[in-house]
Amino acid sequence: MKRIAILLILVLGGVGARASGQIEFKFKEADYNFLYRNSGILGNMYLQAGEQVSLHPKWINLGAGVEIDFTDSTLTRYYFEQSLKFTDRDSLVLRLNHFEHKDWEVGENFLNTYYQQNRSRLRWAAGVAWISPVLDDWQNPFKFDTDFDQVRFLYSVSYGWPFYKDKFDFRVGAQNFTQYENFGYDHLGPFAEIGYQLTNRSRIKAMADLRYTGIGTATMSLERQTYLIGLEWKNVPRRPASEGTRWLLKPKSKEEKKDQLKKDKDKKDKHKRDKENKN
Amino acid sequence: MKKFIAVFAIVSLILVSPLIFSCGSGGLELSDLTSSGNSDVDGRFQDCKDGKAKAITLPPVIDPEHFSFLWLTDMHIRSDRDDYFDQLGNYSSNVGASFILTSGDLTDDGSSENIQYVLSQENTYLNVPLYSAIGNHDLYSDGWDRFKDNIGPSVTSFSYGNSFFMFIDSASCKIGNDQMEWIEDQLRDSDAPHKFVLSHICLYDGELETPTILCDPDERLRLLSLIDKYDVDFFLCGHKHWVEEDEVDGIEHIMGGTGSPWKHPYNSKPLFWYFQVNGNEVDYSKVHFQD
Repeated sequence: MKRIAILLILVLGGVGARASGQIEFKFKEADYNFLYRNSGILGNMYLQAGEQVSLHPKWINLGAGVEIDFTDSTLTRYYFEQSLKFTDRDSLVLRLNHFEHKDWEVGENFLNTYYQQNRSRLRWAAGVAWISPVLDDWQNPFKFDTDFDQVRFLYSVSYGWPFYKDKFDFRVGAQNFTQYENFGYDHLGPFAEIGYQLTNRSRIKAMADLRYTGIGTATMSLERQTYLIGLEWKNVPRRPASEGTRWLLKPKSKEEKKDQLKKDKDKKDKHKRDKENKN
Repeated sequence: MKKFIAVFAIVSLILVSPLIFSCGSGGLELSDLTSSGNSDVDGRFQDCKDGKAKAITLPPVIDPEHFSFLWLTDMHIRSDRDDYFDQLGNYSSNVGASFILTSGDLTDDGSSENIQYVLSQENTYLNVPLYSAIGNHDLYSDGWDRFKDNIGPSVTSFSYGNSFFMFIDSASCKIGNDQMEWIEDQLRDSDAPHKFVLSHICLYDGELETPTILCDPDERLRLLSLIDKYDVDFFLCGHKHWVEEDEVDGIEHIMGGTGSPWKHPYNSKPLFWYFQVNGNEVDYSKVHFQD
């Protein structure tokens, strides 16, 4: 299945990149991370690669990602997702995650469904997950064993703000799930992320994610630490450098978008006229 | 300057938020926020491994193929409250049980007063030994030293007749790498036809997950895979004050409710469980305490 996931990512990436100029099919974003994660019984280095393509800007936004443990290659996580993007800020995400550990001969599948809203600074998400450990046929990402399955509530809330000429951004928050993982409630997962806008379309980031467990037993302690550096790429329209590069924290309103298009058109026309005059 | 303020704000938030969330728990210290999460459970495991806990003395085996025992959990004993020691003593005498096992939260707060009260009640009412896993309540009031000196190890295993019993320490809601390796070694080495694992925290707590199961999903999966691989028959746990029985791949996961007259299970009456080992069969039944 790992091969299928990697293949799917490559196909999505390839097709998406080829078709990125078309309206119907768009290669929307890519996310590549290198991380160190240390928990009670697992501590390794991982690589994550995720991509998203759109067949329809509102109804069909497909994604896939894979996390590979490159220290001893026993652990793999991957996901497939579909998002309904109601607006630029609101979306409903359906994600099928799979975890497997070769030495333990055990897998876990979870289906996360959550609503998320990305406001200018505040981001939040809430939903439910259907989780099922898989003891037999543990490499099967579609097997949900109804003997031992559970429903878990999901939450994520964070607040971010830009600084230093809008080139950097900070985000702090707490969550009990990520694109690749799904933790229990008894985890308090504060995280902090710093990002730097490299170009109009790309951003590098560094994140620290700490997880405290034992809230329910009043024996709380730091259980898990994740440190991540990564690169994000978004297929957003190019803009003149003079107008800044930030795209994460401040989605434009309809009026602003119109103004921007008009400005871009005027600038293009002016450039064309200048060129013609020169000739 | 702004950058430094932002960094300071983030670090502060990361450190302060757990403190806010754990208000009233009484269990969190600043060192817990920065140290490895396994330090407590690893320390207790090491104490047990080094023989620093009171040794378990087993009763003689009369018939290795046929014996019985009582199991219960979450007794939450307090010297100023009622308990069910007299009923446990009477029942175990009547059925000829070999011993009584509990899955932790033997006392309500781990205090010296309540530990001494448990010992005196045992002497008064029980004519068979009582062995207990450790629960989170047993750790309160810095209770580990008192637990290991008076009750026994938090991590141990023994064979009795044709059965293997293992007590694991999940009182801090985690297992840790050292204990996990020990669990695998012990299970691998046992060829007993019946295997019982006792833990305070469960691996499964019903269709809607609550914050009462073993915290780390990785540890949960690892433990699940181990008890499946080495053919454990029963995983006996408590903590949630709930009665539930689930069978997964031939393993019976039983959440035992409570054995306390003042802390009832949310979906049942206080109870204990009567296990009978008869050769290749293990039968069990619920027995409710009389009010």
